[in-house]
This record gives sequence, C-alpha cells and structure tokens, in this order.
Amino acid sequence: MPAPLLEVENLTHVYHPQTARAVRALEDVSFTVAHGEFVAIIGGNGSGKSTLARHLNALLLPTGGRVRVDGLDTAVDEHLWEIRRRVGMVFQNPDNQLVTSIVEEDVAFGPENLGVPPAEIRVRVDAALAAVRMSALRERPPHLLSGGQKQRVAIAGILALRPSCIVFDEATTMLDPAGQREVMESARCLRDESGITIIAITHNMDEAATADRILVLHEGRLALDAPPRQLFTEAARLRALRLDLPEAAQVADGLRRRGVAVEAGRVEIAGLAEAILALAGRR
Amino acid sequence: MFRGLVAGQYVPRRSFVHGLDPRTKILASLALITVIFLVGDFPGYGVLAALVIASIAASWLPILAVLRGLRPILFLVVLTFLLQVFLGGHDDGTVLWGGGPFVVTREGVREGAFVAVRLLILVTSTSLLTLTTSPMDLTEGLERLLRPFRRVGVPAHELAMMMTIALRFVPTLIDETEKIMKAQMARGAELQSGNLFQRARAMIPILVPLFVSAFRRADELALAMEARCYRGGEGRTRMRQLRFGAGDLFAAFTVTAVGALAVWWGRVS
Repeated sequence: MPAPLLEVENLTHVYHPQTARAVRALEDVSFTVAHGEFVAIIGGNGSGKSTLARHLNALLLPTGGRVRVDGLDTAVDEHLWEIRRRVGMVFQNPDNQLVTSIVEEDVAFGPENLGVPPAEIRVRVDAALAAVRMSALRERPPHLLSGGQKQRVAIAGILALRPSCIVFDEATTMLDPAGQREVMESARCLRDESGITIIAITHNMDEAATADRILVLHEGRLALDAPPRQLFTEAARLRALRLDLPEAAQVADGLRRRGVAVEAGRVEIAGLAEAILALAGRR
Repeated sequence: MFRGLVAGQYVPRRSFVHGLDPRTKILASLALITVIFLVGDFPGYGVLAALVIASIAASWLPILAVLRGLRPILFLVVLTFLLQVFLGGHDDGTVLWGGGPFVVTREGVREGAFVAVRLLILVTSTSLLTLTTSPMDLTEGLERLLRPFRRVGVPAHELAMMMTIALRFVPTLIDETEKIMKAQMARGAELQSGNLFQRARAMIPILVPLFVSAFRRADELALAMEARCYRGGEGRTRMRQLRFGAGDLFAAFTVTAVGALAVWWGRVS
C-alpha cells in the first residue's frame, strides 16, 4: 500500500494556550488521506472544521500531535513553503483571496512567489485557466466576475502551483446554487483527470454526499469516519451530532421508518428514485 | 456618487503610446512636468502643446475621454485666470478696460493666460499617462524604477504590492459602501439632508462598518496570500516582463528634444 498523502496523528489544537481564554479546538484527531481521494469534512459550528483545515497546509501548527504531508512534518520550518505549494486552499469569501485586478495576473501570483521563470509561469497560467474553463475571461477584473467564477479563479491560482491536494474551506457557502455546482464540478474534474486529492470542508450535506468518504467532527473530536452510503444510514447518530441528512437520505430514512424497505444508503436523488421505482414495480 | 473616479481612467487601445514601456511613459511625464515649470514664455508652451496634441493623436484616444479628464480642473483654470487678470497687480500696464476698483491691463491678461495654459498642459500631459497605461503596468513600471533605490531603504516591492491590492479592492469597497448606505437608509438614516455638520455626522454609521469589514478582508487576504506561498519580494519573479524597445527609444528622444526646444524657445527674454 502506497504511503498516504496526509497523515494526521493525535492532532490537538489549543487557541491562546496557557491563558484564561484558552480554547481546545481540536482534541486527539487522527486520520489519513490517500492520494487522489475525495474527502468531505462536516460538522456543526465550532466543531473545529476550519481549524483542522488550516493544519493541513501549516497555516496553523499543532499544539499536540503531528500532521504530515507526503511525509513532510508541518512543524518543521524548512518544509513550510513546500507544504503550502503541495496543499492549496480555497477560502470561503471569494472576494478576499484574489490579489490583483486582472484574472491571469492573479493566477500567476503563486508561481511568482516561488520564483518560477516568466516563460514557465505563462505556460502554467494558461493551463490552469483552461483546467477551470476560465481562459476566455483571463483579462477581466475579478470584481466583474460571479462568485462561482471568482472561486474558479482561486482554484486556478492554486493549480498554477502544481499541488497534490486542494482544501476547500467552506468554499461554496457564500455562492448561489449555480456557483456551488460550478465549483464542485471543477473540484471533481481535477480529481478525476489530474488525480488531485480533494478535501471539502462543508455545511452542505448534498455536497458531502458526493465524496468518497466523510469525516464528522463534533466538539473538536473525530466522531465518525465512513463512506456516505454507510454514514447516512446512521440517521439517529447524525441527529445526535446535530447534523442533517441530505434530502434523499431523509426521504429514504422516513420511508424506512414507515416500514417501506428502501435499499439502505441511497444518498442521491436519482439513486433513491430508482430504488423507489424498483419497489413500486415489484408490487 | 462615485462617477468622478472615472475621469483619467485607463482607456484600452492598441496604439503606439499604449504599447510603450510604462517606465518610458512615467519618466517622460516627470520630464514634461519639469519642463513645464522651466518654460517662461508662450513660444515654449506652443512647442509643448504641439507635443501633447501629437501624443494624443498617436494614442488613438477618443478626444472626449481626454476632455473629460480636464473637466474637474476647468473651474480652477478659470479661477486662476480671473485672479491673475483682476488682482494680478499690473497697475502700471497698458489699460484695456477700467471700471471702478478693477483695472484690466494687457499684462494682466497675458499673465492670466500664461498660468491657465500652464495648468492645462500640465494636467493633459499627466492624464495622458494614466489614460494610456493600465494600473497594473503603472505599478510594475514604478516598482522597476524604484528598485535601484532599495539599497537606500525605499521599499519598492512593498509599495507596488500595496498599490496592486489597493487597485484590486477599490471597486469591492465601493460596492460595499453603497450596500452599507442602503442598509442604513433602510433603517431611517438621513444621509442627504441637514447642514454640513449633520451630514458629516451621518457618515459615521457608514464608515465604522466599512472599516471593520476592510480590516477583516485584510486579515483574510493575508492568510490567502500566505497559503499561496507569498513571503515578500525576495526571490520573486514576475510573469509580466517589461521591454524597452525601439519605440521607447524614439519616444524618449522626442520628448528630450522637444523639451529642450521648449525650454530654449520659452526662456524669458
């Protein structure tokens, strides 16, 4: 078995340690993520989702435990920039992560920071914009783009760094449904075509349902770690963690409780419809 | 209410002047400003006006865009002209018109026209720089020009980065200001009435949220920049490369020659 991309071992994080305001945001969290995996991290407000995300590219360092990216320890100073190059992050507010007033210049920002030669930056920028289908808008100022387009530019800016992993830190929360779809489709496409690992921190259960695996955080601890089909059959447990099921899973759960034997783990509308039709046809 | 910002803003074209290296244009503008103050008589301004008009022609700018850039200073031009004419203190000159305490002399009119023409040429030539150079090019040009002075402590990269970010966030903050104004007006804030003092006070509920949000944005932007490996100007490369070409050489030579001619021809005899 190949070495995992991300290794999180007994990660604990305390904000303002040794003061009266000390807050334990993460407590003994351990998991690994393989290359090319699509993992969703869900949890209520204050569950430590964003704190966890910021440990994955050394924006925050562990108070206890260890985080490794491709074997590189985030706590070691010399690894800092290599780790940030390999793990990119798309943030929540599309307006507050674009640096320049021209789309393609913004995409070039990352490689410029690494000191990549100009001709090579050009090549990377063109490829990155093409990958998120933003080539036509390369000379636009960002403030004239839609939210979904801004987030795609942000993704392109990370792609130009040639990363192995992109973390979406609630990157779709401020977008309209069309924008959410745009961004998640781009993410999925990058995983499928370039094998880039995707970590999606999200409130949106329908978004999480499309991942390979879901991690549930509750009060700073890792409460559940399972594939969506399995996770969403545990409706009672998720409710106890104050989490909602995706719509399709809610319907399936309701039917099951009324004694209709819908196949367990149907988490997408289309799959649920099929299961219901199969039942109806059999009668 | 923010229409005024549009005057003097970049107008994209594919002309000779647009294609010049921003460094050439910045230095040429500085040279012109110096020359304008060295010229002491009308023939010099004739030469400079010819140069400015030729440059406008070579930049394919719509003449309206240039004139619109002059509108904000028109009042100033007229005012200085009138001040010079009526209060210029040329009591011993040739009287053209005398009425009560005001005396208009030939010398006064001449002096007024001189100052007005100086102002017009000054503003036209500098707005030509911003009309034909994109803000990104301008920033890049400034950074390159200031780079040699880094050794004496001029933070060339930091200044350029600040300008870049400011340019990026001006439209965002304008949108936000309008949103906050609407929100406060919806709660009954009186923004457009009252005397000057009352109106200034009414700005406080707009400025406070605007500042709070600007600081939050700055925080998030800093985090996003760090996540993209930003660590200052050291070892940084740029995708955009500036090229000083034959056109720049021609432009530099023309400006130098015409400037020298203007100074020589416009010297006070």
